[in-house]
Amino acid sequence: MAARPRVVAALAARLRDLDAAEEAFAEAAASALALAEPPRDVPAWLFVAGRRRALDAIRKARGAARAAERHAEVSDMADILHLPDPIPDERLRLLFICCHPAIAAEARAALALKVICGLPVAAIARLFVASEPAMFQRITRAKTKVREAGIAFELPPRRDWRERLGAVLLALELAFTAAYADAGGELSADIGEDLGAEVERLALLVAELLPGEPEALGLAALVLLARSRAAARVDGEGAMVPLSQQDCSQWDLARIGRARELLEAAAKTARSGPYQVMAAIQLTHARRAFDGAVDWSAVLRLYDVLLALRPSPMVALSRALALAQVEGAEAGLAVLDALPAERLALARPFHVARADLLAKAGRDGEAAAALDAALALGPPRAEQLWLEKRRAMLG
Amino acid sequence: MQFMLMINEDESVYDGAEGAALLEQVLAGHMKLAEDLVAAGVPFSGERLKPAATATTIRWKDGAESLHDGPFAETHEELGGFYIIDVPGLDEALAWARRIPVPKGGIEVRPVWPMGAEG
Repeated sequence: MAARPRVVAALAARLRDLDAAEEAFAEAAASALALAEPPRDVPAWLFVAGRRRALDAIRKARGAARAAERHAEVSDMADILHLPDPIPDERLRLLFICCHPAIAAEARAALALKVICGLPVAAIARLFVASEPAMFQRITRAKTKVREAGIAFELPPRRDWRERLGAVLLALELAFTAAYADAGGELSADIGEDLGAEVERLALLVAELLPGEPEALGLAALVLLARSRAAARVDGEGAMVPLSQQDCSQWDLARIGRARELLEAAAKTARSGPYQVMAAIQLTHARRAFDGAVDWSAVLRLYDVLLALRPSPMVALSRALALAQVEGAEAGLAVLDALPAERLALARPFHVARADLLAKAGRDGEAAAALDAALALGPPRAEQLWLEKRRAMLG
Repeated sequence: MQFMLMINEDESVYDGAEGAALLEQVLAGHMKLAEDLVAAGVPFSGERLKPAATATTIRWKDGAESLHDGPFAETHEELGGFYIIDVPGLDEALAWARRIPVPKGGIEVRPVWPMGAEG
């Protein structure tokens, strides 16, 4: 169902209850499907229908007399026609509310992904490498905290934004990771909107609100750069095209230019951070559109910095691929072999990277086995098609 | 809405001559806080509790009652006192809680269950 984040956020701001907002939206969406003709303005219809359902529920729970008096202003569906701005845009406000420091740190970003981006709990659990029941419980607990602990449903005063910024950026990063992995658009189809576009919009909004926060600018640049390649990422048959093989004439130069400006503004603050470095790496790749080649030693140096700022097996993996470009496939493989293979056994990118370097090193049999391991992990369709093509080439 | 601000602190910091001086500072801090709450028009109440060693705890197990000498939970930090304040929301409650003098310990902020509400 389209426009879910905007409608849920508006309902939550109005009802001051995250659960009630999600339930109201689900019910409204179900009744919209049952209509003989789709409503002309779907989001407005969903908002008004959702609000009415939620208030009906409140009325029932509280006893008809008292509630009828309190919610007397709620009329019927006809008021859609008369609302000047039927759905206020509350997404940003809700994002900051979900990232209140009184909510457990590990739950803030998860809550934001659930409520604002509408990601299914299973998808959130994958992003956090947690089990689905544990993630469900974490989100439920956070919602209860918001409802019961007196957390304000207002955009916090500007001085409080900084302490929430880390969680806000993490939520956006993870949402974007999910959107980016979804090259074939299955997740977006599931949640009923273009998740990548939504994250881009929110990231730019945060950067605009906090122009003095270099990491906010860095994340916005990162998202822009990834989105600049959207048209080149999938081929005519729906298979993923890896970055190095993309036709850069299909890249969106306006987005690349905007990202460069954001990174330059961030650099002026002289406070570096992981998002800025990640964006700088992507910008170095984007330069291929202008220079015709990638400066791999620059990429490698940036990965060295990122590995120091934010060490993780995934960063080490990307660094190994850059190293292979500079010093050869065997050098990259040596680094991959030193990574904790057990921890990475379920990480698709690990097997894909190994396959890539093994094939370059002429070890086709091992490369094929690595591709089989990646395929066995159930990649999204676009990636699966690409991996199958490569597998077929190895025979 | 109402919040209870529970002062959990290490009582031993008030031992000895240095501790007595510290206690005086802390009490002066509480006086100032009370004045500021009044000046801000925040309805509040609060009490200081005697040391945890004076506590008696009643427990029930399998329907049988037993009395224990001491506080409910044996920890390094004891409930030393509390405020109940009436403010618009958590952020305001936290702002007041931050101003409570606590040399060693912390403040737990909890909403009070509103009278007459269901659920």
